[in-house]
Amino acid sequence: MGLLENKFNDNIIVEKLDKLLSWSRSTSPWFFQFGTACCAIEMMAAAASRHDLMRIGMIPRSSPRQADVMIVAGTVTMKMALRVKKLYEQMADPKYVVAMGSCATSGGPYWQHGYHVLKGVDIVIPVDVYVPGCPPRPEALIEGLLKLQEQILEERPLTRKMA
Amino acid sequence: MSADMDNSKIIELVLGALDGDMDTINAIEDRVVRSKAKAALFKAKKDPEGYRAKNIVSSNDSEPSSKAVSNEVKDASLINLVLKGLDGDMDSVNAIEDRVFRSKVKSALVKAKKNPEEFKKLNHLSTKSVDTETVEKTQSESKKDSISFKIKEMADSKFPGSITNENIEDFLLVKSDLWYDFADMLKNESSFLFDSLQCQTGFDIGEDTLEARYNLHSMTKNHYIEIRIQVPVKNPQIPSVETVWRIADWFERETYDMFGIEFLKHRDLRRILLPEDWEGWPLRKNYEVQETYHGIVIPKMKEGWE
Amino acid sequence: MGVIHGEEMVLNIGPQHPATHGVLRLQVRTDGEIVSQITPYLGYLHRCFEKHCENVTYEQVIPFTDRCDYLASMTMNFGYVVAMEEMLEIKVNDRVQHIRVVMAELQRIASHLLGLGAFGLDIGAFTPFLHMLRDRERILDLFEMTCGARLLYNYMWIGGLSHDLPVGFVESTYKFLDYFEPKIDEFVDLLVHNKIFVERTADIGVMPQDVAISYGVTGPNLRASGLKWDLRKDDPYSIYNKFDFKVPVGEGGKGTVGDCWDRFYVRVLEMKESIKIVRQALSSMPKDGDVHQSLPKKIKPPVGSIYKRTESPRGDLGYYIQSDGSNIPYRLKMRSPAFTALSVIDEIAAGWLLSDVLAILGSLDIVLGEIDR
Repeated sequence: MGLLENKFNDNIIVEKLDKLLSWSRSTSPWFFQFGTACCAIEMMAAAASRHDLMRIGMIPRSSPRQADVMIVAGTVTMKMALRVKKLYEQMADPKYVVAMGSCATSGGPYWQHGYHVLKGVDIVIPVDVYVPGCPPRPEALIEGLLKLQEQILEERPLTRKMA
Repeated sequence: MSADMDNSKIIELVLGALDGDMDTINAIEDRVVRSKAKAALFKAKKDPEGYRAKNIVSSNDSEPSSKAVSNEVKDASLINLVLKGLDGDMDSVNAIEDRVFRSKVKSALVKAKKNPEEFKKLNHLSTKSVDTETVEKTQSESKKDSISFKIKEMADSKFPGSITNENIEDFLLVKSDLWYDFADMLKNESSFLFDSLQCQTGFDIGEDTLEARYNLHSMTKNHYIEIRIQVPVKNPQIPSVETVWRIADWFERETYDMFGIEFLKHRDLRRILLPEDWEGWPLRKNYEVQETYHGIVIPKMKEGWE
Repeated sequence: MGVIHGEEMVLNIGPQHPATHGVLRLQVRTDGEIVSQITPYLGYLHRCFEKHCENVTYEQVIPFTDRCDYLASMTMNFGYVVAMEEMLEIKVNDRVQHIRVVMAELQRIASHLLGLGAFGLDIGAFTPFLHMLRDRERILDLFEMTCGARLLYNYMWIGGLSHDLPVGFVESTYKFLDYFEPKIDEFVDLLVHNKIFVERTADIGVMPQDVAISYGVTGPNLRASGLKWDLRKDDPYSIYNKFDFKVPVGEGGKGTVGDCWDRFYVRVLEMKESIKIVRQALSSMPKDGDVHQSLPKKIKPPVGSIYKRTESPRGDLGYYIQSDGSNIPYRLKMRSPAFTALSVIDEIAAGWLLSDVLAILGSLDIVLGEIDR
């Protein structure tokens, strides 16, 4: 959508097309499972049969090039922070990031004396939704992802944005 | 103090009876003492190991501890309980079931409270000389004693001067330059056969000394030993034993990473947990974390809400 | 005709890869498809656990130990609490001991379920993974009923437990055990004797006994190589000497002793033994007893050190605690079994094909949180 993004004036055809585009983007975001630590297990449990993530349209993909959403689950360390940035840059637009767990939000229980822990993944990449908890229950993760879907639904990719 | 003499005699009798000797108790003529001893024996039988641990002074010393209520007593658990009481924790003192021992502790506490600093100084055991290992003194402890004595015998004959600590009950302090041959002996000698290195850590014990501790175990003979090696902070070098126990390769890399102890003749000594370009040795007590790493700020920034 | 000269290829597996083991980087030198050398790179999850332990009190260390091996947090708590109670000479009552054994064995079953499911996933079998997670959710339900958390419990405290068993726990556990025992047989039918699975795992990655001992490998990996060493029987702690259970040892059922299939099968048999232990513990548990009875008011151990080992689902978990008389540990070192298990990968995986390397890595059942601490 690179060439056509934000190019058109606001009229009825563009508005309906916009709604169609954002609806289709929001109902099938494929997620990039970037699990580092304990939250990764809850992410796997959310994708398993009891709390099924596939019913809201999310399928786990292992390569960043095929994914729309990156769920950063677990503690990110300094050694890993450089790789997180690289992986984020490898994802194709439009891309969204969910910071799952308190370690990805702000350093978690390791904030005080952790010399090797990145205090929140939003220092290196921009984050859309924060899901708190240590670890968050699968239901909490699903709520966070539904909020992300609501956010995507409100986007208007084709319309020209007023300053 | 006849009450104390009685108490210590009762402890002796009960210990003897726990080992099976009822005749001494039954032969006592004084009815009061005999009944006290039998009552104490009934209580002790509920938890014989705990009773023994509380009341054994030392395996060599067979004199009654009648003069025990003074600052020279070497009963480690009594000292610990008194130290606890001085700090304000009376619960553990009150929780002692044995009335005799409890009264001993309380009277020692009363004395100690008159001059608490001196008591603490006299009884504060440093980590270098005597380690109060609080494992119960059971069969395995006596086995461990004998294995460390056997090792000391053989070490004194093969490498004189290698073991430098007096009390070899809990650990052996070995000189760092003789360590490789010592380790070879421990692994290959038929009476020891320590074929598995369980744990290897570094310690920063203050006073500009670093220490490396090795916990060894023999799978075939089922005995344990702990070895410690001390090196100065200015030049921390220890010979590497990775050809003796293959796991020492990674353990030594981790100790190097965290403390900066260099292991000579290690084939690939580099950091294992932290990135290669990290500065400093994190687990030393005087470590100060660096401000940024590749442009990322490390300490948590507090903005307004804190 | 001349010989075609090839060059060695250096391939990077990780640090982010779809297997569940975590962030591990393997640098693999291959000659075509055959691997000649593997170098593991660790530290991508180093969370400074030991530095934190030097700055918080003894009770506050327990949640940090949970997060090291997040798949088996009950046993991590158990090891620490057993070591501290020996140092402080605290005796807990019978009810607490029985509950601890029940929780630890249920946790062992849950951890093995996930480990085996993930191993199947690495090989390519997706269905058993979902079956295992389904059964694991039922165990997590039991834990949630007791202490409110699904993954990181902070349940075993020094001198007792945080919560007593709720009403209905014993019946629910019996129901779960009755439901779960036939599932193991179903799982064995599905995967263990499956021809494709056997072809991919038998005779692969053989670990001889002396290599295992020299590299410090313990737990099911060592038992699969033929040596009968289980800390619950050889160096018993808590009340394990009262229960009757067998220790399964690898016998080379489908190939040589000590191959991937053995490491897999030993874990399946261990789950059956754990079920036996849970049943015995539940039937002999005393009905009355306060779980908060022996909680100490202040934890200030005497000056000294202790090294205590317990059996976690991955091997020998050791805690080396040095105290200086205050209420903050001077130094705490956790000897993790997965660290030693990972160090042996160069020795046993060199010479196999690239896909076999992933099978061997899966059979070792490592958790990166424990390795990097």
